[in-house]
Amino acid sequence: MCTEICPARVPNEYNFGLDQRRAAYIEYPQAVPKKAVIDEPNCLYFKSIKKTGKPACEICKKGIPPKGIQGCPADAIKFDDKDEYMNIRVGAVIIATGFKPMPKHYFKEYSPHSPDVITSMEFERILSATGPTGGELKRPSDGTKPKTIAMISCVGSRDERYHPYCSKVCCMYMLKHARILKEKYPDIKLYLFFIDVRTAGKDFEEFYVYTRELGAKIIRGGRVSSVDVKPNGKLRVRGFDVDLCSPVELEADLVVLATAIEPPDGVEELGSMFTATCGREGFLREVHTKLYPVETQARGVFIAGCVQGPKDIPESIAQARAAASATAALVIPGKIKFEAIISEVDRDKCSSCGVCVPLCPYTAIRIVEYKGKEKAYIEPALCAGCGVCASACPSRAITFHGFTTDQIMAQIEALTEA
Amino acid sequence: MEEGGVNVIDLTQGDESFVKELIALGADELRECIQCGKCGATCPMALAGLEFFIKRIVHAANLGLRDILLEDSSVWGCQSCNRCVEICPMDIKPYEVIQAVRRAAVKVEACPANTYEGLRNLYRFGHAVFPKGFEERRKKVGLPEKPPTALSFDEFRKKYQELLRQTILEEIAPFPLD
Ligand code: SF4
Ligand code: SF4
Repeated sequence: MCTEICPARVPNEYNFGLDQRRAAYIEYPQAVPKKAVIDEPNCLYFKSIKKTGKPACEICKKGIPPKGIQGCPADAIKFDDKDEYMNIRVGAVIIATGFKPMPKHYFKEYSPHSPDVITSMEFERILSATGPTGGELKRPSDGTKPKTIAMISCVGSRDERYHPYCSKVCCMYMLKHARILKEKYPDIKLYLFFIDVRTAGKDFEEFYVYTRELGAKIIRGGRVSSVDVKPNGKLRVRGFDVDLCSPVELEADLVVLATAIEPPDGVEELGSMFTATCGREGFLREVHTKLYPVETQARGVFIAGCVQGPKDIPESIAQARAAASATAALVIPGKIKFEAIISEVDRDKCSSCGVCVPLCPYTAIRIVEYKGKEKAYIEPALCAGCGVCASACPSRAITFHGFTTDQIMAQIEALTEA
Repeated sequence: MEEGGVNVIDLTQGDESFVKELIALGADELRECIQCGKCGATCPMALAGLEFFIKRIVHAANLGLRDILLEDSSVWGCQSCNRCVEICPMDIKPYEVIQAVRRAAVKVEACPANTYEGLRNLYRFGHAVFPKGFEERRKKVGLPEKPPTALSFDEFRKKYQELLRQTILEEIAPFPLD
């Protein structure tokens, strides 16, 4: 109700600003929980209260009685409700924040200022029945139905200027878009520009061949060099076709850029809160690609989905399930086995200098009271056994089990024995 | 091709109705070609250095590039060896693509002149290859002037011409069928 009568309109983030939502809104039709919220900075009630102290609008709550429009029938609008932050004590955390699609503005060679040059995510919304056009295929510029569409792969992926990695899912979703379009509009002309087509795995190559059968044209070896807006409003696409062995060009009505999958904003800060680290490409890093694929170097912190790297839905689900099992294995027994090779403070020797505390990469060291004094304490469940603290302690109060001074000296002696 | 453009192929001229025409003319698996290049690695056209060889022909056909295919004489260079058909992993039958392009070309009289000469000879004499002055050469080596084919049997030739007149040749022959 409120989502239809609220008079304040703002660009709809879920549809990448291709249409508008109200200030009282439900994020998207499949949102969980599917509840309306009020977007405070854009709500006229809050704006006017801030300015004049008086509410200028309470339409969602009270409706517009003279027009016979009813307000929230459940009386659920609470203007005095506040955002709340909750502290929850947990035994483990799974980070699954997903990814961010690269925006088009980076790619000046593809005329990003043109409304008819869109990203695949935007195109996905245009194709969706619940999207900005209600599922109707329309050019954003003039609302006409495009007759020729060019799709460009690897935009920002496999590109040393942006991301050296392959985003992995673009080839397949481009083919998916092509298939949806060809099945719905058989006469549409589709040109898919690929460097090469990556359709690894079960059923994917078959999908590719089927899409070709439907009449989608595949241009390989052809990362497009430029998209220009022509005076007639059409887009000129220039590429290279390795199979024709010739430069090619095309006049398109709509250009769809398969932009790279990027790590989500703030993932580095988030990771460091948990002492989980990011790899070179900015995704959170697993401990071992094969043996510990969902574990981070912080104990009890797991990762799943695209926060760890580009992947498709089946892979994300498999990884999420693996992370859930790893979490359950850690938490459900109610007790934790400590590693044997960890460090321990002899608190009677500790001089309370605190040097070790900021050095520990796993935030395992705290200062706690011991015999009436502040002393360092290493949480054995968090210690990863790196030994940094033991080597730094000026009072030699920290024992690194398995690598005590005596043990190391004995090793040296054995190695240097004539 | 854009004005001033050098060697740029304009995909916009791609015509899907041409693709459909080729499919109807026998290239029925055309669209499934994944451009793996295996045919190009065995085709004598490619081995002989022809630039527009089978793999590129299949791709151009799939893109509906009618003018390029009909203006180029490459399809007429095919040796009908059928190596491509045997080797193609997608069962495209690339030779059938060549044949379909040839059929399409014949319909719009876009064949090289020598193909018409062969066609005319075939109709007139029952032989596509009909080198001038063969009678003397045969005589020299002691053979009858005419070989014992349609050339020697007017009656059969007439019958055979009658049959040919009932084919598509009747519509497309750029010479009188008399
Ligand atoms: S016709 Fe067959 S062999 Fe030739 S490129 Fe296509 S799939 Fe490969
Ligand atoms: S049949 Fe023609 S196209 Fe096929 S391999 Fe032989 S010469 Fe090449």
